[in-house]
Amino acid sequence: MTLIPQDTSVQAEYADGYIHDETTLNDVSPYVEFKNIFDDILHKRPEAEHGPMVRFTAFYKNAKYDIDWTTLPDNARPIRFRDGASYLSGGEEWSEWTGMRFGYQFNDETGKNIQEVQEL
Amino acid sequence: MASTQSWTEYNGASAATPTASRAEANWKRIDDSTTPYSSSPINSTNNENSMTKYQALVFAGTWSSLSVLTYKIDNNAPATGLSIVGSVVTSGTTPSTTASGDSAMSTTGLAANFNNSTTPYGAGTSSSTASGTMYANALRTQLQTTSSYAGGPGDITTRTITATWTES
Repeated sequence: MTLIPQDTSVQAEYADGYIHDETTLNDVSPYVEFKNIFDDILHKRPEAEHGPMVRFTAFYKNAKYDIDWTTLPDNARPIRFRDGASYLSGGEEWSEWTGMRFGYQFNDETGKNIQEVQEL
Repeated sequence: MASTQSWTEYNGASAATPTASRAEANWKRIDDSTTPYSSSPINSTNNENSMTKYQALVFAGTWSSLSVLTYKIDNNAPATGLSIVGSVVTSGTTPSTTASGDSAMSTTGLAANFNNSTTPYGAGTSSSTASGTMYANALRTQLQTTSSYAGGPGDITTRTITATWTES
């Protein structure tokens, strides 16, 4: 069964073809209790078993955004921030995502911070 | 899953008694989270204020980090002579109808910190990678009336309190 990616979700593909997917895993890390899938990707937890990350992907508003991770240096770090809002009104409470930023960051050989982040 | 959010109300001595997942948020003249506001209304002709109300956003679920939390209201002036005031607090005071001394509740966002897994009261930090449950600092609000209020008894229109944050 293929699940429709949840809005603001991410997934990462690794060298052996394994895909660590937020929607499929209900955003619950299989490695560290109470952490999410992005935290796994950020801390490279799947790489011991599946090899280096080769693709980092985000989903937002029915669009898919890919970063070819093989073009980035080894010290590159994924970035995913999502903005949330929780409302209290008229005896009801509800929450939603209101924005998302996606990209990467690394320090080049001179130590300069290189960061590419897109507001989706 | 990601993070999930709920609002907790605090009543009683030092506003320390929590009622979790409390969406009812009417300002009224009694310090509890159960009495209908119509049973304990604010008498504007006496220039009364509501009890101060303490509420905090509580996070559960999963995340990598939480940051940039704010509280705001969509409108803080229901009518001439009526004002909704508010502030972010790091400790609780027993709710009272005495004017809280807070400024008009922000319509753009009051910064609040993430405290810990058990209470909203404490200095907290502006971002956190702690996991499990996370209480944001509490928001204290009060509906105040002044002698310039010319309206009669009745409800104000519904207001919306919003908490915003960023998570990774």
